[in-house]
Amino acid sequence: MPEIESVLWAGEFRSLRTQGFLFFDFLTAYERDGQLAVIARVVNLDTKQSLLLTAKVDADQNSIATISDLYAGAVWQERETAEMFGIKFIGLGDTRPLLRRSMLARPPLLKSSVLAARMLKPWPGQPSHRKQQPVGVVDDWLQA
Amino acid sequence: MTTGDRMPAHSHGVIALTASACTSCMICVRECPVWCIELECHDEEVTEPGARRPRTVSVLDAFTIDYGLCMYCGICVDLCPFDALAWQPDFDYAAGSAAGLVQGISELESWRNNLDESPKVSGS
Amino acid sequence: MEIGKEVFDTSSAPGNTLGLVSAPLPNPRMYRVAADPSLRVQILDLGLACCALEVGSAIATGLLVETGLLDAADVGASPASGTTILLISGTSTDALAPAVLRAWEQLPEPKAAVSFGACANTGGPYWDAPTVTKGIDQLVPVTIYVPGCPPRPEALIAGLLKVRDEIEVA
Repeated sequence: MPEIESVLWAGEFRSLRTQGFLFFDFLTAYERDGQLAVIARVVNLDTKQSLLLTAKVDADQNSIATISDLYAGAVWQERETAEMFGIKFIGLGDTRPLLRRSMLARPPLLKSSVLAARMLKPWPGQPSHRKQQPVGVVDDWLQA
Repeated sequence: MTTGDRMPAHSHGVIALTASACTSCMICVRECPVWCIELECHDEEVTEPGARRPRTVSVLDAFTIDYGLCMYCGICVDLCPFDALAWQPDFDYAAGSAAGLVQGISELESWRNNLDESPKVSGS
Repeated sequence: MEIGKEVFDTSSAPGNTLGLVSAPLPNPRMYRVAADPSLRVQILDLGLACCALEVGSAIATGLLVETGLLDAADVGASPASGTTILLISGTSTDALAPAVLRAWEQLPEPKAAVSFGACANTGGPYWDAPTVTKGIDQLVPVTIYVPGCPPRPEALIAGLLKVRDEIEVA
């Protein structure tokens, strides 16, 4: 999967459009080793070629340029990625969140975000005489 | 209305518990993706005639499935090493409250009434 | 406390309702329950996710039969006939909650709400998701909870018959 420099992200798609990659499939983000990255797939419908591109977001600003001016369908997915990962898409006009009613809490899809429901309900698999953690929760969740 | 004839015997309707087969190993509880199973047990010493030392066995005190949460994936049924859990095609257990969907040992055992003992063959 | 009050106070939330608060709702449709021909109910099918397919299946397999308007004979035949049922199947998010509440408020009396499937009952597989409503009983008073993920179409009928029983007892 081609990884490109975050400053080249939007420019790469601008260039891909001139090569016939006019169909936008999806855009989302992922977190690896504490670093957020965006990932998107575009398709050239004439040649049936598809490209999956990724770029780390700027770590200081947590931001990357929008591609919504190139692909109209990217607006919805950039809005979703912004509200779920806290990434700022520079140049994205419509920044209204889709599902979250309050933007005060941490973006829910960051690995460091603890799910409140899992804090409130004890894991039923926790044996009284052994220390065992359920998968997918932070190390100190029992103490928190 | 009865359990429909057109329903396969092992369709994911409800989970029947055979409490005497359960060893309280907790595998179902831990593997449940939605945390809908709870189990309580205590250890008892059993002395068998002729045995040198007493043996410790787990005795099941409580076992509940919250069918309000259950996603009917069947991981608990598949993983149970002792076949204490089995699918039954019954569906008629809607309740007047969310708490009414939490079933304990006696309710879960009652689904065994029409337990199909035929071998589980996927796709049959 | 009024049901759903705290969930619906979205005054601090961003002004994005996707038109859910103002868009016109479909009219409830009249159905006869094949298992009990004396029972005719109006159903507003609020299908929010995959469970909604099972409602379609109940109609396609003839368990629910679409029928004409209620007449006096029906009301006499079964006290539950003429009840309007809000059938909520699928996942409700907090963003969608105002639309669910509005659907309930706009239904004529007598009415009852049926929660169909794990998501509507408790949040189901999404019980830990920060954006999902943990049971639509936080929004509307639910008469019967139908378990399943999804419940079978037959379970829907069994649930409707339980609603009938509840009304007849009351």
